[in-house]
Amino acid sequence: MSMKAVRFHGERDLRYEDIPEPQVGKGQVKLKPAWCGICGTDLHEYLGGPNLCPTTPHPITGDSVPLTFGHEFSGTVEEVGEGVSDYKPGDRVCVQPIIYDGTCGACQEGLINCCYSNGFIGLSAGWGGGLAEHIVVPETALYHLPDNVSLEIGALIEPLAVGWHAVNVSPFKPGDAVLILGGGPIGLSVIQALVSRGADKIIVSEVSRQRQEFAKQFGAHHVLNPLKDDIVAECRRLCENQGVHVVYDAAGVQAGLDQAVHAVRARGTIVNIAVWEKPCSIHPNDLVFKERRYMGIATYVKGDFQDVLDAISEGRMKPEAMITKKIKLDEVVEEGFKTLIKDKDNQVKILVEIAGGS
Amino acid sequence: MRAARYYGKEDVRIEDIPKPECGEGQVRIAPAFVGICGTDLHEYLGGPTFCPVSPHPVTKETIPVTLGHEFSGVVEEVGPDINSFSIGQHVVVQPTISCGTCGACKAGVENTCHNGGFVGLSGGGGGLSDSLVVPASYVLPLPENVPLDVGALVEPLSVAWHAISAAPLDESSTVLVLGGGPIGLAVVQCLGAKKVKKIILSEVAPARQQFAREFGAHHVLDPRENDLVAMTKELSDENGADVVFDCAGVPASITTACQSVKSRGTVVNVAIWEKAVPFNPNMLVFREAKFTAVLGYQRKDFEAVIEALGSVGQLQPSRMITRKIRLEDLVEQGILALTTAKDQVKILVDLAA
Repeated sequence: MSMKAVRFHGERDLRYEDIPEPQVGKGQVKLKPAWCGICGTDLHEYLGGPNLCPTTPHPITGDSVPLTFGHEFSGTVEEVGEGVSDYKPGDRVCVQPIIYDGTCGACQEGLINCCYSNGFIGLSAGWGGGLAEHIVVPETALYHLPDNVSLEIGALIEPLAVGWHAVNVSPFKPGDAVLILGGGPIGLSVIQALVSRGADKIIVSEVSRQRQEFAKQFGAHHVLNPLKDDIVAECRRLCENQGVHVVYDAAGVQAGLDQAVHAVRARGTIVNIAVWEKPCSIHPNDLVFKERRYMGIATYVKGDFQDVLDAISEGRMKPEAMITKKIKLDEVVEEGFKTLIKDKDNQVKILVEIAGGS
Repeated sequence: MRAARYYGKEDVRIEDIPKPECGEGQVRIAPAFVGICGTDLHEYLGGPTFCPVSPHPVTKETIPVTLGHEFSGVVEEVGPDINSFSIGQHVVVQPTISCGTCGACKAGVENTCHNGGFVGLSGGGGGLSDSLVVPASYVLPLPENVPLDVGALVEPLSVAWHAISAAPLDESSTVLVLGGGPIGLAVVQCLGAKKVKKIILSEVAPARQQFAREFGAHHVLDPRENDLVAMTKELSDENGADVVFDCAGVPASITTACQSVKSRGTVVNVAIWEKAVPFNPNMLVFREAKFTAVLGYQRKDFEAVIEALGSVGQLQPSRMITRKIRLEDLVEQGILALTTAKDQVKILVDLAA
């Protein structure tokens, strides 16, 4: 039996092709993906990769390029393997795509996101991806979608979990003022996580006018343009002349970091979510003289997906407006990747509909 | 009275200046021993950096200012309203100058005061003189069993105590210390006082490696001969260090620190840097690690160090004192000696010599 899949073969080489349908095994669940988002990481891989996609067999999956793409997706259970009791055919689910070994020091401390051998379904490890008619994943990667959460929204849980996790691990507490660098999908998911926790002073720095509008729509209280506004001066002015308590860097560029270190108050924290394309430059004294902190954040851990699902189900988070375009599986390159390259500013999430989206 | 005053780059003069008056709320101290610090060295070689060239917002002074911020002394006189100190009492001074009104001060982080400074760098007198007057709130009593020369080490030890308090640590932690200068060695000793079982120290100079062993480092590595990242992992079940203290402040050390730390571990930067350095945030991203910067100390750090010195055996830093000199020899045998001799840890000026 064969199926359609979108596979990454190398730089600017993404193919819509026929590959064998996977078979379900013990502890595994076979899904029919319904909706799958395209992520900035996919785009980086397409434009300049393979970077994260393994060119030699991944230590856990044994897979290497070509790999099926798609790590932000929802779907419907088709078949379950031996020993699977929590899922049955017809269940609507979303996938937490982290692949981890469960045995290394990080995994033993619950930090599967920092697993020494980690990878992602549909990106850096294999096991198929969401941009295919079928996929088989371990039962442990699945979350049930609550009845009032649609399959389309189910494809947004992954990027929302990144923002949720960042806020969760950061020292943010209600009443704190924050600055978010970048109003792309991750910046917007940080805004939503903060809003759901009652943040009342969210400042966003973003160049694109369309993204500035999205930031306001999702609840940013002050939206600044770093090409026109003095971000440092504005953050001080808006925060008792001290600066913000926490900065979330969802941009990963030098100019943003330079502003962040001066926009954050004494003992404040810069939380970096961005994966940087190249090293930057930092003057550690800018941190030293105000005892500022800098921390890295990696994706999400167990618990974040469920928290996001609960927040949406209970109406504390309303992410629908993140979906700016819907396309079909055979349009992924032209209408998906190429649109994100040419028209990035007007897009937040492009969702790919697979097999009718159900 | 005699005072060592800083006039500018490579210009420190021992000269006679008037004795200051002791007023309300103040204590007059005759300094006994004064440590020479890396900061003094930097001021001498490349300053003024800390020493004010325009009136300091708190002290209102400009250079020349009296040097000496690591010191012990004897109370000579107290202001009319002061009864917490008595004449002849042995004391140390926490030299932090803060404005008390800025955001940092209001938030209880007076060590990062926007207008801050130090006695002995920013005006307000300094330890390198026969007498100085400070607010009584700057003064802490030294226990009777702590000699005055060890009292001069309270300040650098407090820098280390403040640094180790910024990281989650317990006896089972694996800790990597980069740099075996006075602050690196002080960090090793404070970790020892906390009974940390695995202290790894990286240092190039053989004399400092030896000091590190004496002060309690369990593994001493030469970064030119050892792969620090690999060795740290090997010594920690492949996980990496729970905490890394960067007391070196060189471009290679920030990368080593960020690569040697375990998932969710903490890098504590104690160093003061000369310039911006290349940094790749992804090193911290993939392990969700923190980079925390610390500066100076707070009163609770001074109190903790004095308590540890007073109680038997917790901190025994007297071997850090590698030389004692006269005030008149400050530049030649003190400041300049530190620029060349790597076998020195702390050179103290003995005001009575």
